[in-house]
Amino acid sequence: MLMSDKLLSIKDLELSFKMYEGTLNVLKKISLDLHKGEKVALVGESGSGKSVTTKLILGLLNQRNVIKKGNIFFNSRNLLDISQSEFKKLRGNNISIIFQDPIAALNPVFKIKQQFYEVLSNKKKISKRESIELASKALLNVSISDPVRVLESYPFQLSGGMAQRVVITMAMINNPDLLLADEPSTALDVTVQNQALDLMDDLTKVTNTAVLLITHNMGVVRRFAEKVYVIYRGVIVEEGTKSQVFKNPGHPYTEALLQSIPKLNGTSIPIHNDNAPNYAEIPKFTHPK
Amino acid sequence: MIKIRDISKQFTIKNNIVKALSNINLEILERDCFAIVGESGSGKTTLANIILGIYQQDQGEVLFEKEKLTKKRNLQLRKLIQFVQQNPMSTLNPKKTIYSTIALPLKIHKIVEDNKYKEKVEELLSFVGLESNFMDRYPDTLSGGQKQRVAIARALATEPKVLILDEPTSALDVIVQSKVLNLLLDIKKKFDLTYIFITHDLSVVKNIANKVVVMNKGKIEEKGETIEIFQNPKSEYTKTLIRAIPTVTDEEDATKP
Ligand SMILES: Nc1ncnc2c1ncn2[C@@H]1O[C@H](COP(=O)(O)OP(=O)(O)OP(=O)(O)O)[C@@H](O)[C@H]1O
Ligand SMILES: Nc1ncnc2c1ncn2[C@@H]1O[C@H](COP(=O)(O)OP(=O)(O)OP(=O)(O)O)[C@@H](O)[C@H]1O
Ligand SMILES: [Mg+2]
Ligand SMILES: [Mg+2]
Repeated sequence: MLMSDKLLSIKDLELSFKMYEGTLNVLKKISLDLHKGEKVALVGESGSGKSVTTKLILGLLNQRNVIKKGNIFFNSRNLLDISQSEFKKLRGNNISIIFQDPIAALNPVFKIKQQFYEVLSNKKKISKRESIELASKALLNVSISDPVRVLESYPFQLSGGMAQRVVITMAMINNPDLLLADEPSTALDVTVQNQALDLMDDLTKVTNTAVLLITHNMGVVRRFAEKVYVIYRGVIVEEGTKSQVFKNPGHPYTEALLQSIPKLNGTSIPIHNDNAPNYAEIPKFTHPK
Repeated sequence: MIKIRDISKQFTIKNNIVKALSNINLEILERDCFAIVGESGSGKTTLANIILGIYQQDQGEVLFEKEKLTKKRNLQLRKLIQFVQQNPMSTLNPKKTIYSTIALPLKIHKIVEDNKYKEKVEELLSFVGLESNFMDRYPDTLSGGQKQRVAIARALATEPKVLILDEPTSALDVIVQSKVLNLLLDIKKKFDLTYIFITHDLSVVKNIANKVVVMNKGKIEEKGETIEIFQNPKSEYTKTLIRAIPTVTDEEDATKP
């Protein structure tokens, strides 16, 4: 892959929250690269800093108690330096996100069709009728058999998986350069889940979109990703290709993670060893390129 | 423990009729870990909402220990049947600290003495792997999985007999998931609880549930013992579903139908 193909480059990114009880250090110098069209998975502990990383990429963490350091280069521009109005142009057009909680990501007081119109008209001038046609077609691709009813619904009238499919479709409809997918398939049955992953895969091929996939489902990682980063308490502990990480995990945290997966041929939930070492103290393992 | 007799429910949205549930019959026995799996939009959450009295069914009845359940529930009944909702991120009250979120059911149902709330909340949080310094925080400063664990702690607070868990571990890494699920199993054994477990994670179902019902388009596709359903699925839909499970080893794939 050419160096010039690099789309996103996170370098020594640090994030802390100033809290009443003291400072909470959430990201401790993480570095991560994504090339155009690449499919990268970020996996790891609950609370380790995956979602906040996506929020920093989108310029969504601006509260007064937030301290950030380091660089996030997107097409060689540092996203930590740009203004909110520049972010507005990037969001939805160049970078889009599937938020972890689909219901919270949708506006409760607008019908789904209005929310699609908003997204589509952000990119180019479009009539309401055209927007409904485009949205219906896109929803059919994720097995929503009655898109008209879904478009006429308010978010609370949709099932968890329907809302998630709406959010996935909205994030992909403008063919972004970078798609941040934060737990995009938690509410989908496995067949629809595979469909959604295939659609994201198509996007990387057809429009060269790069995808950063965050998930706790290692089966999904195995099916979708090319490269894997493992994060633990705000530190990247392992980095490698999918087969390197699955076949030869190099960091004890990754090993523990792989061992804790309930297996289809198993009969009980695996038990995690309570005397585990402090994973954060064990140095990062980078597989050879 | 819970009998569901011929339940149907439909919704209407701008001339479109959605048959969310059609003639559902189920029997959940005491101490079951009863999994509900199936298509997204097949009515799983709707069924949970009917059992809880949040929605009113169009037809049929729900019996709890032979007592017919109506939408009006007394305090005792609400204590006994608890719910962990599908999207804890949007169901926790953003204006309440984690402490008041979990202490509220303790107070309403008088679970502990007035001066013991803090201790009890700490205990419940530690069950789900959260330190006590989470008590003073607000939901929007928590990660997805941290919120999900707060929702589980809140449901356990009332010491229920039946726990309905709707995608309870979807935001947890597999290590925390294994801790939470093993803990739920311990509590279940200790207090003879009954679980209704709604999830899309069929590998979890295989390892935790003794019975499974597979739903598709508001109807029951297949039901039975877990082992039976995984080894000998009868319906084509169930087979498709099991074949589509994303696995991490080739050995798992070899056990697919
Ligand atoms: N606004 C905030 N104020 C204070 N702390 C925060 C805030 N947002 C997030 N955090 C903390 O930062 C850490 C990282 O949160 P983040 O949401 O990125 O986790 P995550 O890796 O996405 O976890 P999960 O898999 O559970 O969703 C967590 O410990 C969380 O409690
Ligand atoms: N309050 C409501 N108003 C209108 N329609 C509703 C309402 N609640 C649910 N529905 C519809 O009923 C059907 C079943 O929804 P339900 O939430 O029970 O599905 P589910 O099996 O839980 O799906 P998922 O796995 O995606 O969460 C869906 O088509 C949904 O849009
Ligand atoms: Mg998250
Ligand atoms: Mg549901």
